Amino acid sequence: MILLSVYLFTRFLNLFSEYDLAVRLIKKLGIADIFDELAFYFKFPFVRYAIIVGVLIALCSSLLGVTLVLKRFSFIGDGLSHVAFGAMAVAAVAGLTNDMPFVLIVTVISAVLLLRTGQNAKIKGDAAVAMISVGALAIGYLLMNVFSKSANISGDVCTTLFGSTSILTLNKTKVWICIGLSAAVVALFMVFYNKIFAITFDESFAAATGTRVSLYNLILAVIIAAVIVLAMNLVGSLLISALVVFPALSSMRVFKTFRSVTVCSAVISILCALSGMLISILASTPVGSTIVVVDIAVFFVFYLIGFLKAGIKK
Amino acid sequence: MKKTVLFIFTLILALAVCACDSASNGASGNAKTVADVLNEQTGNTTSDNSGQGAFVPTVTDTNMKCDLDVTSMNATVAYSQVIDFWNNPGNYMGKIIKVRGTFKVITDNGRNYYSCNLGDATACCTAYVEFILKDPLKYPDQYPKVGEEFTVIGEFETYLENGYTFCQLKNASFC
Repeated sequence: MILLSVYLFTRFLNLFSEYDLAVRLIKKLGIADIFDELAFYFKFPFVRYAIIVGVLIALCSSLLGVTLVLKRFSFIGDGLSHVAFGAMAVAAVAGLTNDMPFVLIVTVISAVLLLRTGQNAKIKGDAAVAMISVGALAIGYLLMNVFSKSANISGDVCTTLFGSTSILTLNKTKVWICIGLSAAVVALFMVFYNKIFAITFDESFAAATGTRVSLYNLILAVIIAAVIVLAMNLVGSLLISALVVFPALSSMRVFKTFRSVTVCSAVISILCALSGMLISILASTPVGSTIVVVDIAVFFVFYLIGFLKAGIKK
Repeated sequence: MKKTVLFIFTLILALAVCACDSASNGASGNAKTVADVLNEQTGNTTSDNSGQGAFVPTVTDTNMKCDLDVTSMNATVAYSQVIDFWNNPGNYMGKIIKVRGTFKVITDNGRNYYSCNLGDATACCTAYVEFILKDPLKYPDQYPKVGEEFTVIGEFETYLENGYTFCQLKNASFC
């Protein structure tokens, strides 16, 4: 960060003798080449769209991640992403030009069914998630193989499951839908922050104090579905859980209050998504996997910080 | 603590061994279908026309000034750029574009459609852009072999066929 600041300062002010040394050092390390390459790629609109949408998706998923981890619903994201994949397959077979509204509706319905059937369900929690998850994945892949007109089914499935370049191939309509959905998710989270806090930690107490728990669970289900559909564009179906879970878990190693964990989770998620995308663009690696690897690295760093912090306190 | 460290070390070692093993076997970029496996088992293998090495053109045009050079991008961004041609063709109309990829030809109703195919970094997905040469050359003698790498430069345009919009480089030439 210090070298970056010096480099930018010298580019702006022209060179002084002591900063000239820093610039020569930066050039020797090849950092200037990296910035030149990034500046070249940032000229293309689809790269700019990818960065904007990726950051928004990371923000939304991190806000949701804290609640899901605390309510022990981490695998709901995985299950719903598979449902979204199945819905996407149906939309592709049906020849829908824009599949996002259809996928969103199906995923919302599934989220509501999964989260609200906890009370009197014959098939409970994790079994229901597993059933719906693998069923949707199998049906989706079967439909794509039997009915798809695409010449590269494996590639289409690979892209949808792992998000190798989905974020870099968004058209304008999808970009605006993503921005709109992200804004709605953030707005809902901020408006209902206190209620979400209450139902996250103690649903029974919240219900006893007059909070309409079922309504807020429904709102949460809708938010989850929206974030899952958005996040599929960034990291693909199979890696969504990482995007939701890792930032929350990392921040929980160091911070203890709900607000601080949420803020830290958002910051970590945005920085990891941004770093992952930039590394992927420069090193030509799959976007989704790169972001998740950066998330894992940051988790280990925060785990170490938490470990040292606990050691110092003792 | 010791058990945790030992467990993590064993896990990393196991992952490293598995990675070495798959690297030595060589991973295929394309998923096989049931038909492919059955053909292999029954000995009915189809020959793969993937070309080796790059195509050296006999006729080139060095006068074209390139507006967008896709060959200077890495695989991920180049693939995304070609997808953007299809998503937002209006942004590229009339521009001179240079692309590098593998050659493919499709014959439909007696007409040959020539295309330049680009794969993403993992080679699991491909995007393509068609081209029509300015100087009519003889196929297949003066064209690349199917699957062979080549570079083509041309003016971007779209055309309608059977109700679908396609992208192509017109007045194109090999580089």
